[in-house]
Amino acid sequence: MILLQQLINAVSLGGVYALLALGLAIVFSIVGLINFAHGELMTISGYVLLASLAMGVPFAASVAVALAGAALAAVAMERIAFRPMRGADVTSLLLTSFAVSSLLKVVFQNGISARPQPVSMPGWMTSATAFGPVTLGHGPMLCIALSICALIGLELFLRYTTMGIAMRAAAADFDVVRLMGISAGRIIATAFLLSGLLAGLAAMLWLAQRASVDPLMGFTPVLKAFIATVIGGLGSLRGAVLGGFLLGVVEVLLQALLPSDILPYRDAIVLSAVIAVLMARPNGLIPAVNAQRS
Amino acid sequence: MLEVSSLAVRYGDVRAVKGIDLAVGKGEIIALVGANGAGKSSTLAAISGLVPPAGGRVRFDGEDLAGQPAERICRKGVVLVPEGRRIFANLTVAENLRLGGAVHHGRAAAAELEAELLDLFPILRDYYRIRGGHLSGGEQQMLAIARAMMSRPKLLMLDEPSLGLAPQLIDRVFDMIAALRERGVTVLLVEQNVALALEIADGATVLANGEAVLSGSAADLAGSDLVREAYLGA
Ligand SMILES: Nc1ncnc2c1ncn2[C@@H]1O[C@H](COP(=O)(O)OP(=O)(O)O)[C@@H](O)[C@H]1O
Ligand SMILES: [Mg+2]
Repeated sequence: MILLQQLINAVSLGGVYALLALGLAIVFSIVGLINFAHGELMTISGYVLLASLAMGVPFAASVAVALAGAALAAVAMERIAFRPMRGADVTSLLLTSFAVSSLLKVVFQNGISARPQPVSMPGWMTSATAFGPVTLGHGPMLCIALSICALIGLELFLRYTTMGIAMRAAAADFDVVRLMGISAGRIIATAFLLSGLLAGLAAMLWLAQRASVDPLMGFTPVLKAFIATVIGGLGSLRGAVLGGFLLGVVEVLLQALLPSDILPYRDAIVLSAVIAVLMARPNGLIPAVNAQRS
Repeated sequence: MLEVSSLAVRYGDVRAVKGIDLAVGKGEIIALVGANGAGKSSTLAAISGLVPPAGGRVRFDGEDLAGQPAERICRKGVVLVPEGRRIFANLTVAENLRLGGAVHHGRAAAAELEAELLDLFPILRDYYRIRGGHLSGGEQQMLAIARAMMSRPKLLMLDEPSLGLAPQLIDRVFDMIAALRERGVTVLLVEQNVALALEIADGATVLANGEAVLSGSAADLAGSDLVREAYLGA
């Protein structure tokens, strides 16, 4: 019974990692950029939620505002920081995103506060329901349900809309997509918009179980999401989702099952497993269709 | 319809195209021929906006396209079928065609055009839900042409459509090009297979080392000593 609860926690953490990894993978597959500032999108979303609630906006509307805030922040980031760098090499892009990330962290620390700000989540979200002998937290279950909805929604978008099909095509051959008259700027903006939305959703699910925002809120989960994208295959969307869930499940299960004297080595064990996966499959579990920029 | 003047293309220090002139009239098929590395693909890349021209003009229906982005040039009706086909291998035939028609608004018009093209290329109807990567070279070439036709081009530019195809498939592709002409499409055709290109074209320009060395009607070129010695093996 404890195991079932742990499993639900594991899948819910995996869902957050999967959403974040997917956002990173979408941007990488299209512009060849590993966006170090992805974690800050998550943090921005948290602060927007905080501000919106403080202004007395109802909870559901505040969540919508926070999602929109993350999406807009992502698009603005592309416009201001990455668009002028278009065509630059991978290293310059990487350094740019690193700079954006550091800058935003400083802004949060000095402009808002270095200390964690509590977010009052609705009571039902932090409570639990007992099903016979099992008590299941609402937060983790909501988290699983929403992650799955988001993954299905994204899949439908990529499969059935012209923009979604164009994004899949652009990941393989961007020039030819432009030759079809489809605007490169719009595809890139959509990629960032989606990555922002996913980061925003991940932030909401993260907060549902932690209820506080601080300037480094996005750091750890996005670090895990990076690892997930690498395990899954850099630039591969399915790989990112698989990697995210796998990492979340392994982390929580190790946490639950390891004897307490080995527990401090949990992250070392996880990272060793990652290295082992990469030695067996250097391009990840589900390699990207076309790793033209690596 | 298309008037290219003093067009130049450079890649760093490499001068791939050194100021060529080229004219294509409405309804014509004009061939651009020459050896490997002569600058044919670079010329098409510059016209289509994939690489910015280093100099010169590309006038199309009276407007200068030089330096405009590829997506805008496509929407003006100048569409390139690139060398090596470059269909989207991970997308189905249907999805490839849908992207080709993405510039149009209005589903009905796109569906109607697609139905016409599937009549013209019946093999694509058979493979409609199959991924492009599973098609043979010849089928991929048909798909690449049909995909470009989905945007209703006024000028279709084909870069070596015969490349890597078996002889009888080459004939089929050229039959298709002739069929497109019947439908009123203007074609700028790049070919290394000079004999075949001169058979179908109205006029032709011969490129060598990035320069236009000869240009005239297809019949005149087929009879010229230079072309016969250098390219027709006579
Ligand atoms: N992307 C590129 N970068 C550098 N040089 C190139 C590039 N593309 C083509 N070239 C050079 O430009 C010249 C013309 O090439 P190209 O236009 O492809 O000729 P063709 O299509 O007639 O075979 C060649 O010398 C080729 O090596
Ligand atoms: Mg060529």
